[in-house]
Amino acid sequence: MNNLCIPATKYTPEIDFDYHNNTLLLSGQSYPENTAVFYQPIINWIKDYIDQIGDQETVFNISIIYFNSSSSKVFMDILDLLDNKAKEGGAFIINWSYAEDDEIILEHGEEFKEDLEHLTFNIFTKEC
Amino acid sequence: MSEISILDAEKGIIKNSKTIVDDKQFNDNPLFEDYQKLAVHYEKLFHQFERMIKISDRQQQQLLNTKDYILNYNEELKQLNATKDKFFSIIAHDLRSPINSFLNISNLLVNHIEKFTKAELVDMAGDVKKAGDNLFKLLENLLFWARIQMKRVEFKPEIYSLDTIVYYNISLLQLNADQKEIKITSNISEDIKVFADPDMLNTILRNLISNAIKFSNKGGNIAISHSESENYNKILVEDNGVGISLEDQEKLFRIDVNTTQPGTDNEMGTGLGLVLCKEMIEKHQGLIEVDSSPGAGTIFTFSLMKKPL
Repeated sequence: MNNLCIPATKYTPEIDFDYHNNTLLLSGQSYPENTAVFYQPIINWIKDYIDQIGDQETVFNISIIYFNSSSSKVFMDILDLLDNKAKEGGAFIINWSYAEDDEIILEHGEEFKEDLEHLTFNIFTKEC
Repeated sequence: MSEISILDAEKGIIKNSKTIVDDKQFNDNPLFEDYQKLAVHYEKLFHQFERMIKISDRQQQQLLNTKDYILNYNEELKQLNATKDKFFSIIAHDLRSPINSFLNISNLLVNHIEKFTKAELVDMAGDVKKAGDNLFKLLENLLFWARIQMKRVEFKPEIYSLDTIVYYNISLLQLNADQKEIKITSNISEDIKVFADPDMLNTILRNLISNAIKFSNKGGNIAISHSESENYNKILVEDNGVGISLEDQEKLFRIDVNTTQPGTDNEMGTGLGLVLCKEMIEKHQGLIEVDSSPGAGTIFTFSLMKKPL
């Protein structure tokens, strides 16, 4: 399985999914012109990944500055996918980071954390 | 009292579906299994929906805040730009003409001093002094105003007796008033106190009183009085001079329109005095107002706090 790397644009986040080291990164802003088109290959990659990793531990770093509503739906779906996988075995650590003065992103993190039962969801401030 | 929710209908559906799933009489129904799955998914979707609404509302609030911030910032920038324009126009026009007359007279003196009689020279020296005084006044105002713009003026309000400050400023301007045979009176009693920065209050009063002198006719009267509300003392500077048209009143306190008018004795202004007054009064959280009509005199009223809140 290959790694998935997509550089950030003005409207889309940087994606750096490292299959061999079991680390995933999603960082930047997310308001793509067509959210489904942008995220489809990403969701597909995650589905394949989940199928292949067995019970290895994965760290998923999320550092998002701004996102639109359809992106938030996609994030929830992705986190649900991981939560379901964690239920069956396989550990996930989500690190949701926010800039020190950005309480909105902190509160969003808490919102995403709700309803997730089987993975570890950490929220912390980014070091500037 | 139960919590009011915009999602009561959805919550009702979930509650009903649970009642049906829990009811043994439906267990044998061929659709039971599908129904059960549907109910679970529906509940899950519902939770997702709830969270998305919260996230989305928060995002929108954030955008709104940003928009407000940008609008305010834009307004501030516009103001700053007008300030800058005014600054350059004052330098280009108002500062240029007194310097010019200054130079013209000194040129005459340097090149033709021997052709003038002593009386003419005395006259010219008087003109030079007048131009110099005016120039200095303008420069002072301009620099003070620039310092306020750059927020470099210290603001140190304290509680002062209003009458002392008023009498001090009257005495400073007494000479100018005497020249035009104008009488200045004040009926402010000793016990009236204001919470103000002394330098700024002096500048405000000096500007308002010298304006009143400027726009009063020979033999006019200027009255300084006071009224009060719960937290504020209002100071009124009233003259029976030439008055100001409504149209000009609107421009008085604006930096972006030049409204300087020569006085009854052709005294020149800077177009900055009232702008300065307004800024300083607002720094005191007070207000300045004008009540006037042409030929009927003018009342400037400004308010200052009695004590810090």
